[in-house]
Amino acid sequence: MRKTYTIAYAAWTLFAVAAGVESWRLGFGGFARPGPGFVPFLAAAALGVLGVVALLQTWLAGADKGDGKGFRVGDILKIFIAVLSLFGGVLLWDVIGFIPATFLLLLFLFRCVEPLGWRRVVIASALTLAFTHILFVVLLGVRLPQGRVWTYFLN
Amino acid sequence: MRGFAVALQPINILYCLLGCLIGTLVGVLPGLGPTAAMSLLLPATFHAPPVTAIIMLAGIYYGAMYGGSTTSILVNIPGEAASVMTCLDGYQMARQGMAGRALGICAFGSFIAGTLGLVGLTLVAPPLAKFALRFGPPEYFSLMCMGLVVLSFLTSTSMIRALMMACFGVLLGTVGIDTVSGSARFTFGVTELLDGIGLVPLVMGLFGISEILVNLEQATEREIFKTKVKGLLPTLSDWAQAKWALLRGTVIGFWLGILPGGGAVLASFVSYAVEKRVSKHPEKFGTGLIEGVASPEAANNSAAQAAFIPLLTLGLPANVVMALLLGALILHGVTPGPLLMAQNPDIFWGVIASMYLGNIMLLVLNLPLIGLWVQLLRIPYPYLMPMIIIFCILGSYSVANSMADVFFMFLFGIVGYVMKKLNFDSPPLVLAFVLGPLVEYYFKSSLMFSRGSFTVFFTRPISLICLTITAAIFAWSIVSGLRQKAQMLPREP
Repeated sequence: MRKTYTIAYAAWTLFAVAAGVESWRLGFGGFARPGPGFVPFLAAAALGVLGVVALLQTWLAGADKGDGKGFRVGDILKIFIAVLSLFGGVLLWDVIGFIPATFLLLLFLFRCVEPLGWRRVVIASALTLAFTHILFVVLLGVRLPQGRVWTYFLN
Repeated sequence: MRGFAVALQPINILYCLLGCLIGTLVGVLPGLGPTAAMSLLLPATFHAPPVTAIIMLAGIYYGAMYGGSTTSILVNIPGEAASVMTCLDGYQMARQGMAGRALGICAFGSFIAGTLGLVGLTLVAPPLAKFALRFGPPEYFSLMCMGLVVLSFLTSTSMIRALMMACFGVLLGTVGIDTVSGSARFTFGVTELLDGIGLVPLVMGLFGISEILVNLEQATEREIFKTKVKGLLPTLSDWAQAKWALLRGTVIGFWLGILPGGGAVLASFVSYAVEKRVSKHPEKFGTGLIEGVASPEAANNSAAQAAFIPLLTLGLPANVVMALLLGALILHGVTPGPLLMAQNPDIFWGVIASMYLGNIMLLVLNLPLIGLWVQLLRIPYPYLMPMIIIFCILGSYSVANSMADVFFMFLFGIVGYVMKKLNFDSPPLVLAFVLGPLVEYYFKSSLMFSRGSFTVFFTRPISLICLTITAAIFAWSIVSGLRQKAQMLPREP
């Protein structure tokens, strides 16, 4: 865990440096007349200082070495596939429309992430889709993408 | 009376009932807390008037406090964090065939504590709001700093990590057009970022999506203790045994609920510890004592009501759920703070009155419907997970009909997942994100008012007190950290 925390704190410190540079570029102004980058710069500076302190603590005292849950390759792969499918499913909204894209996404989630039988998968996906459609589209009047494919064919 | 006139309007009764039902449901179902549920349903309230929306969102919060105990007692899994302590004695009571007694004292105890907490809220809020009228930008800045530091200190395992998250939250809060200078900050040419990062995608990502990603790693097994739930009405001897525990839990919960960073979770832990200390037979705690169930349940319900005091009177959220409510109020065009009571009395008193009704609704819902909640516990997680994901996606999209918000939510979901794995806490981040723009406004106003002199924060008594408390917490956390390290060093023979 010590290595993981070292990487994490170093990443936060680098992020703070980048945010600080960008804030300074925005304009720090003065104490009597603060600019748009004034508060972000101070927040980035505080984040940077805390990051360095945490980094030093981890190096010198071995702090946090048993803290946190850590990452396993198998888990990361599972998470990666799930996130990729979510991005893909939502990107498909624009192309084939909300209903088919969400149905495909639900099929994937029910079948692959938590393996269930195909019959159950189809029924659960259809019911979930119907419920969300009724709630968001019918009752709340949310306008969801129809899909460029169908618009193209219908016109 | 004016509050009850608002709360008793049919639409408000309906939304209050809906909020209580949803709250109980998310309390019952492990893995979906009130924060995630409120962020999920926040877009759904945009069509409703502000008072109605807040009544429903508040109902979800205190409803979850009621519902959380059911899973703690029957499954030994807390429905949400504030019910952890109820597991200890509640589950043991269920194992000994006393599930009904445990659930009954939970429901009645929650009702009594919630109602007493509300009485406290009704009495304390108006004078506090009047007092807060004396606050200027330096006082608000110092108070918000204190709130962020206290929250970081109380709710996290590492003060440094919590403060890092608070700084990150402030940074995220500055994304978008600066209202003073009009310049775009951290937008990097992305048009969707000009209005800033939305609260809903941020919270849904950090609490909803990240929770699902963590759950994907581990299969959640739930084994419901097979016992008949009977005898829900506590007997006279139950009342005699639990009355002081209930009262102590209520008082502890109320005061810890007001504190920034306190809230229901801390209240239930402290009240259980106090109850164990004052008990004549502390060794029996954890074996199925009714006091061990009554005290934390009273504390978390009382704290849930008390947490509304700083929000409604100072505009300062005491915890992440209140931060979400603050965001909801701002989204509805209402600014909480000392002027809320004068400028929007319908919202102020309407929400408080609705909570009295909500408490009664919860008592009525919890006891007769206990069988239904038990059945709901049997829904396998694989069926719930995709449903929650689609709700998150649609909830995030429907705020502004924007795909960008959905992608931001996924992004924060990944950030939240990594944070959970490394024990970086999300509450300071969300609180700082919500308070960030206010902190910036008050900080800049104070400095402009004092012509760049920082003495303005130290020459005004209220501001000085807040900053002294903040400094004391810092010092305490450093000293306790050093003391812990010293204890870990090997002693010389």
